[in-house]
Amino acid sequence: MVFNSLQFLVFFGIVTSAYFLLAHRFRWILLLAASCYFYMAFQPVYLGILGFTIIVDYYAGIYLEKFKGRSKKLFLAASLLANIGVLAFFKYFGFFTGNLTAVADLLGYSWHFPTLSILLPIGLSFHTFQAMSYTIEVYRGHQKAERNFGIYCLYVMFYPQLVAGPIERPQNLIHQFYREHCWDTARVQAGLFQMLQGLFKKVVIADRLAILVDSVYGSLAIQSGSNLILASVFYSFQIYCDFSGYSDMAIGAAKVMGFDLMTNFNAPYTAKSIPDFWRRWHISLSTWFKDYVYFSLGGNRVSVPRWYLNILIVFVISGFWHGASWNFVIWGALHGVFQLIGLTISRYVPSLSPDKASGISLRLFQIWTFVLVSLAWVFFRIPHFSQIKIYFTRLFHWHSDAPLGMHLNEVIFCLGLILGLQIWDKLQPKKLPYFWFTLPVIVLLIYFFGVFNLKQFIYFQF
Amino acid sequence: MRKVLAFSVLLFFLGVLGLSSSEPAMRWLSHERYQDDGLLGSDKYRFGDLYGLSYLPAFRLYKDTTLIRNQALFDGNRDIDLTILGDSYLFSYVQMDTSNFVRAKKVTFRRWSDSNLEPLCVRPSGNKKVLLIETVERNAWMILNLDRLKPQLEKVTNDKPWYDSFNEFLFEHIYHPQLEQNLDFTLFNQQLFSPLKSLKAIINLEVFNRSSTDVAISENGDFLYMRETVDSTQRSSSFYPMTKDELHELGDRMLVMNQYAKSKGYDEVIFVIIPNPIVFTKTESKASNQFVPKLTTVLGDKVRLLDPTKPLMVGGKQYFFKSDSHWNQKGARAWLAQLNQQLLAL
Repeated sequence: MVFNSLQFLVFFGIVTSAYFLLAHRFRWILLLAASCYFYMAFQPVYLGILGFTIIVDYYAGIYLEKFKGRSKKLFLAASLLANIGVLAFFKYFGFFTGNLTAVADLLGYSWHFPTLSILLPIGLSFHTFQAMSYTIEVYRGHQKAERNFGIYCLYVMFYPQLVAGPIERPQNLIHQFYREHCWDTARVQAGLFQMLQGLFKKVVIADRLAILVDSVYGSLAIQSGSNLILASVFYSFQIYCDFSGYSDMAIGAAKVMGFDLMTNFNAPYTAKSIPDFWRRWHISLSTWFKDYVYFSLGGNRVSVPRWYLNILIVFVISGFWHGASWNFVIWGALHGVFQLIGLTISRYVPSLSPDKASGISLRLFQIWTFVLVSLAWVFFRIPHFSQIKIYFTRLFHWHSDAPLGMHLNEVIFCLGLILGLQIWDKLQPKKLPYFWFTLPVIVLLIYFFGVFNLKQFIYFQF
Repeated sequence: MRKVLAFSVLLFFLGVLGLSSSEPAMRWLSHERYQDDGLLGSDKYRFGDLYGLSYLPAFRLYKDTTLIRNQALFDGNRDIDLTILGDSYLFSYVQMDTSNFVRAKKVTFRRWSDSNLEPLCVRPSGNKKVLLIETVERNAWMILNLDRLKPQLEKVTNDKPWYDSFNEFLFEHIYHPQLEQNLDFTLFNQQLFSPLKSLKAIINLEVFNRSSTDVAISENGDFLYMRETVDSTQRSSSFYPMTKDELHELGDRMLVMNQYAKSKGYDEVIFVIIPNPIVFTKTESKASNQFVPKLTTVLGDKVRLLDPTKPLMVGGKQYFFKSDSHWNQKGARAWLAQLNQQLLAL
């Protein structure tokens, strides 16, 4: 069930109205049942996989609190192993066996390792990371082990953020399930507004940009450099609107019922450097890596070469988290390398540091960051190296009659949408003035200019 | 007051979900909406299925939906048990009974889209058992396949892994497979919304030069076609450069189907492939690939393939609606006459 479907509209209407009609003590049961229904709309049997990790982590949490020393570490390791094991089996098994087979071929051996022909459980990377953050936080003593099994299930399965985040921390979410959320008109309006904003980003901007992007990336070999650049710029905004649109709808849906989920995006294309970009893009994931991987590796409280290595490790893992394919690893590594180059320049030529930039120089830093990020997105978008090679070869061909898949008027309209989005991001309005009057106007705008093809959200595949 | 509001919202959405998840309820709703000519009446397929996809007001037409009857004025011996496997080209236009088919003592019709029905077993009788396998050009590659025919004529066991079967079982029992389409129908398929849908279609066409991804407007602007029948990169298109090898491949598949049907007790098997409307309306500057006539040549007399190109070419665009992927009653009658000639000759 995708957020941009009528099924979700009906589901949301039923769940939200029932939520406010029910007494507080029954609400978690409703939300849990609704979350199961929501998740099973993708692949019902995969609820079993989710159930397995939930049971392991629930008991791990309780034992982590009970025990100390070596035993405690053992329970943490068992929990992490179970989560990473499930992730490795479903997401990375094929990648590893495929690569082993390729290496064996290269060495002249004809070993064929088994492959799995099963679908990746939707949102696996997201809910696994959320579950891991629970056991780590209990281990660190920042969170009490949850004794109510239902509430713990809900922490992992809360439907708005189940399949594509934001990846929540237990300290932020679990206590909210115990708090009674009364109807608050201003809050409901703000939530609905955020949902509409997300829907607008998804169906009006992302799915329209996708028309050109899919057309150009689908015929790389005949495209001109200018078309490829345009498609790359469009893709940068497509993926942003697609993912932040999803996050807005998730946060908005939770907000209507009184829950606060963490912010996931903060105008990422106004970033003045790569580190700044990662403070604004997929914030719940980047802070997850910072808190649980980067700091565990020693962060920046180590020697400079080790610090650089830590940064690189985190970005490579982050790339690998996105998908079991080398192009994602390269995408992550590129961000790491860009960051290291930026850090080195700032260290040795402080005047070239973006931190204190303002005015025109700030704009130049923002543009340069956007160029680097867009360049990296090429590796994210194209899974095969042969195609990536074609992309960079064709980048220098300036004459081509290859179709853009879009009329000039529509290209201009899309550029207008991008410009509007940047202004909107700068203003970041939280409330809709004259709500009940403006609401139908926005709905009509979404209807008239939206592309309704039930296109999946890009991040669902992770 | 808020409780009343929340309760009303809950009831409304539960009602919509219940209605859209129930097959009989959807059948009832469709029937009622198609009967109603007012604002709450359906605006989708009643004005042409391609209008229902594009909502371009210039292509809105009042489609004649009456079924053809009594085309087989036949006094001879009715000695054929006719079984037809077909699609909307037949059941939406032709009354599927003996009044339309010469020599037919019994007519059994089954849609390709119907699944999980009892297999069509041949009952012993003194009559000739004839199986008519009908498809349209755009679906030919999908339909003309033993795997599609087998479940219609015999019980096929499911050899999927247990988890796939279990998954399907769960899915079928929790969600209606066409829930999204049904919700769309329940909530928005009313003439009340036609002006909005048309306005959106006009904006998209005039400003962005874009119509629905499923349709294409003819070069002269008079007809709407299924896009897949025009797009020369797809095998369903009448402009796809079909090779000899491909024709032989399809021919071989038909031979296998022919033999299989005969092994199940049918005396005769007749295949019918109805070419895409674009072949007859002649609105495009490109020439069609002559798929059905070429396939007829490839098959020779190994398989009975009824090629309706000639009889339909007589009426040309008069045999087709301007915004429907089907023929109209005139086209259906022309084809029926050709089929009846064939049945007489058996």
